Amino acid sequence: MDEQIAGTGDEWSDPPGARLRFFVGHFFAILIDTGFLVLWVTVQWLSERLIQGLKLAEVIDSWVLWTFQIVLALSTLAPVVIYTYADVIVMWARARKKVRRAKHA
Amino acid sequence: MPDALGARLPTEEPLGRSLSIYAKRLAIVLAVALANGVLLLMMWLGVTHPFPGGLLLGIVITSVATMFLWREGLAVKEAIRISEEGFVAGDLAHYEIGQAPPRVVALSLLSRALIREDLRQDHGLERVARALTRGASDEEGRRRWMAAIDRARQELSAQTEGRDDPTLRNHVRRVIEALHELETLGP
Repeated sequence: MDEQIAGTGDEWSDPPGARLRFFVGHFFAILIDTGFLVLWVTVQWLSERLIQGLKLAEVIDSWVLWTFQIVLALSTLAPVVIYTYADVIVMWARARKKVRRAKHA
Repeated sequence: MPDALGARLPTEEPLGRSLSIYAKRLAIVLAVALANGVLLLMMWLGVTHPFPGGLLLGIVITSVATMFLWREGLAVKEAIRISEEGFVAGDLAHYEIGQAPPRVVALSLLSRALIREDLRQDHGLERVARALTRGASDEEGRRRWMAAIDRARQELSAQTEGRDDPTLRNHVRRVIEALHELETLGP
């Protein structure tokens, strides 16, 4: 299998410029997706700080806000996961395509 | 590049489009966070300074945010489906010319040409034709159909260029005939 892949025209056999664009494209896509995750963590941290600053009268209030934090975490994580998943699927489909190409070669 | 179908990462798009895609993603994440922020405010006000209609307002805001997320999720799911099917269609066209039945290759090439125009597509001529005519007049649907067949022919020619194999040539001729047949069957 390895020999087949090595013998197939893949990104390593592309001209250096195209190869560089390929890896730079992937690198920045992953970097930006990670950036979105960092943004998510930041939003959670900010919400934590904000909630700590709120004056609460009873225990039930803290339970309400605790529920809110869970909702916030899930709902803000959802779009980040969806977009990361879309990018990963493109990369995954390419990898499968490359393997299939190697099998047909 | 191995990417045959235009299913690309945002970073591989031209800079303007790439920035626009990421700006939209960022806007959605921030909008969700903001909507939650408003919800938090409502909840806090609700428990500390109850006011009439507060609960109703909270429900409306949450419903709108949920619908927005749901629509966005569906759009992303559709994009993933087109991308995955596109790879399948592209693989057929790319690797099985000379092996798959001519009509299958012709449809595959046609689907691939359609995906490049970001039109919905599915397997089968009828669905491909329906995708083409959706929201378009008869004349416009016909124009799109002919344009897709032209692109499929160009693609076929580009993929087989320089491959001097009599069997393949014969098969390509039959694919071209199948494309011609599709031309007459289209909308």
